[in-house]
Amino acid sequence: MMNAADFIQIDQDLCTGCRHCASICPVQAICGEPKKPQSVSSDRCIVCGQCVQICSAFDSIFEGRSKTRAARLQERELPHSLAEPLFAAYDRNSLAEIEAALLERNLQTVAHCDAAALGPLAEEFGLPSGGIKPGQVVSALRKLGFHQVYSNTFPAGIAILEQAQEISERVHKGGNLPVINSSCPAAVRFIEQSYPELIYYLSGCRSPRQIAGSLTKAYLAQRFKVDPAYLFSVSLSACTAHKFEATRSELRVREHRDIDAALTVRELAWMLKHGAIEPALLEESEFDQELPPINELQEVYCRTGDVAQAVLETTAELMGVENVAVECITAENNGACFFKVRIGDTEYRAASVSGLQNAVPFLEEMRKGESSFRFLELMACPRGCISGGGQPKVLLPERRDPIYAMRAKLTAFEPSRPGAKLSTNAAISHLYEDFFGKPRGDKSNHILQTRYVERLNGQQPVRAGSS
Amino acid sequence: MLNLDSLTSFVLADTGKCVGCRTCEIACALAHMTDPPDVAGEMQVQLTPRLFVMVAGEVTAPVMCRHCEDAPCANVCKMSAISRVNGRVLVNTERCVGCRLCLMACPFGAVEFAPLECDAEPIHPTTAESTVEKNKTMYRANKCDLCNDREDGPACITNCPENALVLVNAAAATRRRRNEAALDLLAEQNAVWV
Repeated sequence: MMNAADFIQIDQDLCTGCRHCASICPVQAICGEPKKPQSVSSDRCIVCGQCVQICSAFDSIFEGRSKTRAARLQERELPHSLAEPLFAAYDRNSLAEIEAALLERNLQTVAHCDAAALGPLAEEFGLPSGGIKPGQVVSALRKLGFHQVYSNTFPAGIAILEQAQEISERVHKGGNLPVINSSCPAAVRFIEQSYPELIYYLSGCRSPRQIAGSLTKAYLAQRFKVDPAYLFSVSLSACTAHKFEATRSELRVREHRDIDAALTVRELAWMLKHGAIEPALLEESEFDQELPPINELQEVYCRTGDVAQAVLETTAELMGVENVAVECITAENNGACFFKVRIGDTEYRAASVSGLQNAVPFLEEMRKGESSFRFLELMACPRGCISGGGQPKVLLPERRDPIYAMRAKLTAFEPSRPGAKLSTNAAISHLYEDFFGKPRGDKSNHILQTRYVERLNGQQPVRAGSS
Repeated sequence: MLNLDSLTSFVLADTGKCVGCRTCEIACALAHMTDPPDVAGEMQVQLTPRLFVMVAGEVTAPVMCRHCEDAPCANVCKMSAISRVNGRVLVNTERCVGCRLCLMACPFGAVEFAPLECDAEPIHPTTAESTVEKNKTMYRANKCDLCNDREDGPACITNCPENALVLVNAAAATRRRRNEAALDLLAEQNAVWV
């Protein structure tokens, strides 16, 4: 297994030591003297990939370096056809592994797509975000050779339902509150190493991307009557931390890894360009229906606040509230927004925070036992997944805000949008009745739950959720 | 439009502020593209900046054209491809044959040779037909033009995250220096008279 730090590399030959990466790194993982090449500390890096996004030290054709571009591409295991400039900070990819799996005749390849990855892909092809329709991305993935293409809105629905269930369980049994959302792998690793005493607050539920994988290896394998060893699951997301998450040894169904390879938006673009596939010219096609997309969740996980809102909504539904109305208390401020809903006599509050620096006050509050929230959603990247480490890399700082705004506009915040009514969603109910039994039951635990590691004090995995 | 004095203006880096991030180089290269991309993946050509960040020990700074009054690059050009227009030393790439004399003549190393973006037409088609390889990448003199057509002035200055670059206007700078000197004189005189 790769060490987490191996996923992010800094090319010593290209780094000028400007330390802009160090200024954006939320965990002080970038080490080195100013104006000397920097390196990444493996103990600290949470693989959020913000350094990859901000790095501006490129391989100039005027420098006359001893290493050729071809050699550098080979060293980074990138397609030789890649035309874009190379930068000092980069993330390791699994392209070779994915290509090999697509060519392997015995393997059934399955792609799972994050909503936050679909819109921005267009930017890689010179179009504004959203210029390539989700259906065209599906077609492009099929053209690359994926047998099935699923939307991650379905596993997102399951994760939200499980976490809502967890809140009500912890409320009744007096467990640790707030429940910290476990969907952001960089935030999870941050808590494991910087706030190990809070890992019991993390939701025990796997992230939607991992649930997509575990459903592939357990549920789809059964449905397709295939040995899970012959299923290869690839997860398309905007996330570099997911590359590390996918290799975590506890995220398996028996001996089978949930996700065999993680693919970022940029990497998908490279694959498509290498294969001369122009997604904007393709006909749209539908996601596969074994894990049916939940349209109401199309925008969840794209932006700060969506998950917190959906989890509160579902908690209220599960607790028997009719006509649930989750109220947004404050719009985004310092990366945080707040929600509340009345359940019986109690007001349930949730906070959603993007940018780990912004999250620290909330975690400190929890450490002192003063948190008034029932649910805390954390997203490590400064603007949530739209600014993820695997998103298209914006070249100039002054263009970053308008481009992020475009990505967010695709998923514009609508306080009055209809609830997804996940507790009564037909497809999810069917999966539970047909396959799992009940939420947080034994079988769903085995496939949907996980555990965390206190990374500072020993390496023993600890089960989350238990108090 | 930037109003340049007829006296030379040029971009100068504050070595105390410059961290060597090369954002100025990226901004420069993009400012000179016809349809500049927003994201790295969109780029199908290499970046061809017209200024060059140098790392020399503890010091980092971009080096670029000083738009010399008696510009050696212009003087040495056999094709009259380099001329001084409104305080800027500019290359006419349509006249440039890529001989690299200007590169050798520049005392600052500010001239580079970049692959031409458009289809390069040979300058003397009659002789070129027999001697120039077909579809060969043409390299032409490429140097700072102070972002000739850019409304906000040089892209390197507006994009520098450290605010390390300034446009030096020689006339304004000398006027300011003289003012300062005059005030110093006054202070000295006051000191003597008291």
